[in-house]
Amino acid sequence: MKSWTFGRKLGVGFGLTVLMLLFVGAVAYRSIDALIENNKRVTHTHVVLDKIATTLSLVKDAETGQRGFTITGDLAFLEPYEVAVGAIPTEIAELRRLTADNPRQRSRIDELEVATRGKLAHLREAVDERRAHGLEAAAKFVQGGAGKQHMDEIRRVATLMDQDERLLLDQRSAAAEEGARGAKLTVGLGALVSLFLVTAAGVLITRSLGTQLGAAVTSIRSSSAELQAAATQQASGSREQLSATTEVATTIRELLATSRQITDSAQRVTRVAEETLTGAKTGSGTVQNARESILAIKRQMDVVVGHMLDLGKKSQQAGGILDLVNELSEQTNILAINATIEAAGAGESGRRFSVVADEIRKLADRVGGATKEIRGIIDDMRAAVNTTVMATESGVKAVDAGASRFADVTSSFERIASLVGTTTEASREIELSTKQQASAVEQVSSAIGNVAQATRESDASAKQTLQAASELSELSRSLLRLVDHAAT
Amino acid sequence: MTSGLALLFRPQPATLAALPVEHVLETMRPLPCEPVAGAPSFVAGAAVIRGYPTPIVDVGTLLGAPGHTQAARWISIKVAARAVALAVAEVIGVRRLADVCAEGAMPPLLTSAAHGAVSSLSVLDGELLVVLEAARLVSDEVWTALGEARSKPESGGAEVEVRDGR
Repeated sequence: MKSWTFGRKLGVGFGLTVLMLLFVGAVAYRSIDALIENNKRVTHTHVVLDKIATTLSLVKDAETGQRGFTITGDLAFLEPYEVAVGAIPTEIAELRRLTADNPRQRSRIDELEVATRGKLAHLREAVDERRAHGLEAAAKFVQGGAGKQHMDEIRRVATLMDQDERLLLDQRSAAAEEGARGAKLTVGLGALVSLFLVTAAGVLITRSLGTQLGAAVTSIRSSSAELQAAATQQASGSREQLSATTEVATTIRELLATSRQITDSAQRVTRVAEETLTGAKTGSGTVQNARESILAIKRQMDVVVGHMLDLGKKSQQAGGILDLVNELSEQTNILAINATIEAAGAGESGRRFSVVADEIRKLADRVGGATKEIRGIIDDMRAAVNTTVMATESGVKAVDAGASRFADVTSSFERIASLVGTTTEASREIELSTKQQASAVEQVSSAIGNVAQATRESDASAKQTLQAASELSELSRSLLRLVDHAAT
Repeated sequence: MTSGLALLFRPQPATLAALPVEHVLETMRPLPCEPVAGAPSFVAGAAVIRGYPTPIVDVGTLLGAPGHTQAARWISIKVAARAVALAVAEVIGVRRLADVCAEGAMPPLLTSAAHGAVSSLSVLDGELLVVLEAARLVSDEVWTALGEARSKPESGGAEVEVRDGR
């Protein structure tokens, strides 16, 4: 029984009570039904008694009316007679219907009907006699005594019928009292038994439920305390979540704005990249043309270098010739000086020779000076040629390097064009991705808004939960007090 | 100086000197020169000129210039019966000194300068002109040293260093 549920215990307790109430109700119903039936029969008997009395009274009214008319001759006295003559057959027929289940009463009704009919015929003859022959004839007719005989017969039959009905009335009243006593006894005992069963079931259920409810309420109290703590934490968490969601929503909006800016920037980058691609292609063509021009310059520089080398060789040859001329001038100078010296030694005869030799020396000096100037010029020219050759070679090398660099630049431009193409594609992908990202961020923003709304609802729910938990805790304490009080 | 003619030359680029043309044999380019042991510093060495060993006198060093002269010409002169070659930077030509400058007497304190080789000082075109005395350009010690060098060819040959352009 300890493992029974509350519903089973309550069901068993109330089921027994209901069964007992059904039993008591059934018994009471039967008793009351019997009592009602007896009451009907008693009433029926009273109705029959009343009809017998009414019939007898109507016969008396008819006799009274006939007697008044006979004495006075006033027709007004015939009114009760007329009423009774009309009502008596009806009353007898009603009596016959009411006593249809009683053969003895039915035979007596036949006797009563015969007597009544004889009485009414005698009364009518008396009335007719009064009308036709006056008071004396009528009195004489009444004094014949037939009317009294009929009346006595009627009273006798009526008395017998009344006695039988009263006997039945006594029997039926006794049966009704017996049924009422049985019903009272049954209802009382049933109520006592039901009260005992209900009390026992209530005590047992109260004890059992008190024990179990105490444990359950204690558990509920503990759970409500935990629920209250959890609800408090949930409320705090909901507030923090709401705050965090608000911050996230703000951040998402900023992120959305940033994504749109990135989209605009990506579009600008795409346009710039396309323009750069066009410029890179144009630049590549320009560089290719410049490279061809540089190669042409290189070929011209090679020609210039060749000419300069030839010029250097020629100037070197000229220098060699000039060395020879210088040598000759020096030799001439020496010879002229020596000739002058010899002429001076020759005295007066060598004076003219001395003049010639001195002129030769002067020519030699001028040749020497000229050769020195030419030497200087040639040296300058050779230096210039060497410098030019070196510069030209440097220029050629620079042109080679430039051509090579132009090739590198061309390759770089091609790479730039390729990279710019890749950049354009990448920027387009970035633009598309950023648009998708912006769309996703908008969806996230909407979702965050929903989350914020849900969080606000969760916060409200958490507050309600906290309030419910507090009420549940208070209720559990009250219930525990009730259970403890009931248990003690 | 009987004729009055003199050979003008530059012992060094900044010095102008003159020598009477009677002592001058010829001018020439420098020849291979061998050093002479024991010779004064102004004697650059000896060279074979016209088949005879001839001392080479650095006139710039003789006149007190530091270092040796980068000689471009040799001037072969005769001193008594010997020949001496003067190493100079440049030979200008034969001039009559009376036409171009006024010969002045040597100051007494300068008579012993340059081993007594300077006979007089003069001015030519605003430039100091040193007139040399050929007989005093080479002293007897030089001739002695040159003679000892010739008497000891093995040792002298070992000391001789041929210098191009000298």
